[in-house]
Amino acid sequence: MTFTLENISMNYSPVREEGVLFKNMKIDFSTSSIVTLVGPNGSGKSSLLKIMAGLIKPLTGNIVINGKNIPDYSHKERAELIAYLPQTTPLYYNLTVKELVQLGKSRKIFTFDSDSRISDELVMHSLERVNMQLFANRKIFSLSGGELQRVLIARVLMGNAQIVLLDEITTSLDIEHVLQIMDIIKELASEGKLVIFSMHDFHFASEYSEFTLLLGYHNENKYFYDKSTQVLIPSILEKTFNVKIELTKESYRFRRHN
Amino acid sequence: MKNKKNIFIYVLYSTIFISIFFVSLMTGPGNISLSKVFSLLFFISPSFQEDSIHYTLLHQLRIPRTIMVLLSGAALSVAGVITQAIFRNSLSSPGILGISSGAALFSVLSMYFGLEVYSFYIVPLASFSGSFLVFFILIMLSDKLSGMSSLLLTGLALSAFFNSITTLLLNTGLERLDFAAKVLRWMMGSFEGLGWLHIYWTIIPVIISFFLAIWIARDLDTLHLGIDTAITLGVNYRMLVIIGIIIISLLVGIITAMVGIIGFVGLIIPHMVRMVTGAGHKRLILHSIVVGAIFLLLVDIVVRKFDSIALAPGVITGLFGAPFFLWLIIKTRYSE
Repeated sequence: MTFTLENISMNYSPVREEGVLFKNMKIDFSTSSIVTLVGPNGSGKSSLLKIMAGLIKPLTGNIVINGKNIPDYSHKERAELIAYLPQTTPLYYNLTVKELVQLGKSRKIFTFDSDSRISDELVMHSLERVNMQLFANRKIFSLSGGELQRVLIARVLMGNAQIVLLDEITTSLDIEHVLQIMDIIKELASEGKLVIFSMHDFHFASEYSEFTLLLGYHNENKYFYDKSTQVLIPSILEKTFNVKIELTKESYRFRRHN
Repeated sequence: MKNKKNIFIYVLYSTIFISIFFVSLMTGPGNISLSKVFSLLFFISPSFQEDSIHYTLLHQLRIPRTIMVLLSGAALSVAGVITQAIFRNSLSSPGILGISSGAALFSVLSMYFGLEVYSFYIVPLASFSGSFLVFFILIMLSDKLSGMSSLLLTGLALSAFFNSITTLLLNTGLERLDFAAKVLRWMMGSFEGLGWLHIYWTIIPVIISFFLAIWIARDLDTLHLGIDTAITLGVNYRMLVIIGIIIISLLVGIITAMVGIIGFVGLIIPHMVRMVTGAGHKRLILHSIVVGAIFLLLVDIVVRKFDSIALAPGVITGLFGAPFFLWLIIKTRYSE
């Protein structure tokens, strides 16, 4: 699979030519497996993920997957290639966990087919991967933040897409749940998927991701993409985030219980 | 176990449906007994003098009225389901968002200018354009409106606006008595004077809309998780909204043209049904068709049992619907 950004530019306000978020972004993700997206608030992380998901049009440029531009794919083909989990998923009705996960199966659109064709097995398999199989019949409004986030990830796993885009899905979670989700991301990558996720924690970013895409960087095109070890260094982060970074001897490393 | 539950529901629905259908045929001026209804329906041709009156009453008035009421109840309920799905707002319904008022205004406008003499089709068409227009305005505004209350307030403003114009037309046309009577009829809903012609005109758009609604049911399900997620799941959102608009405009347009504004059916029924079926749209639509039809026929039986001039169907649904709406608002507040 190949996945490349070709000359992608985006502004705060796409109509007026002001507030450049990033310009002429050229990145080839084809050899990557886990990419973190970091950057200050308002640097365009969510916008970039939405552009990659085909939800909004960039000001210029193309997203090319397997040699074809995103708009050239049908809705269904695109859904089978790219999975996307937004920062917040609005929930209108108190569905059961199972019903919610079922919605994630990419479907033949406009059909009289019944939902019962989506097998319970597939749903349970997705729930097992995020360790939520015991919650299958619970109502979603009764779940905690971490439980809900894992159910939403199970929804994403239903589609078996090769490109998985996750927008700050760990932000509101405690450390145990963050670690759980990072392990799921690692597992997805080990299956040959490309996972691109945005987050604010540099520790996890450097530990889990091979590559990092920094937005809001102080150069002409306002982005910097390289190996995480090259990007997540004090000299670069200090400038971008406008803070001082000190290296101290002691630091903690968090791990899950086995 | 699921199958058993389904069979139970089918049996329950059919029993209620059939009994209420016959009660409806019996109810009204010139009481017809159940045995007479049966014999007039299935066995005898109009031979005796008395039978002949009853035969005409049954076949020309009561059966068409009953069918029309069933169609209206089902149609308004499905319109409610689709409205709530498209706006992702369980407090909305065609009545609350002003879609019905728009349809009524356009019907009244066409009558005000005396257009209905040209063709029977003018009023339904005007009504359809009215509901279509309001829906279009709402969709255009919905990008700018965030949150539940702003959408509802917009609907409130729109219906107040349309109702004012309707009232204005009513006041300026007061000396034309037939016109004034018709407009009043529109504003409270009425099942009086409905014949087979009305049914022929209603049944086709209603059935087309029901098919369209079931066709898009699974796509509506994905809207439970928001527009962005729906699109990334492969839903053609723009297409979905357009089909939704067509369904709602067709249903609300044709029903309002035929029986006037009957509020709250599209709000109450989807809610009651959702408690039983869950939020999946295919089941929600199918069950709403049955429950909505039964509900409105019950209302109409009450109307006929009592004074049908003072008690318009819209008055009864309003009496029950408005407190229900209040309860919903309070309940939604708490769960937020």
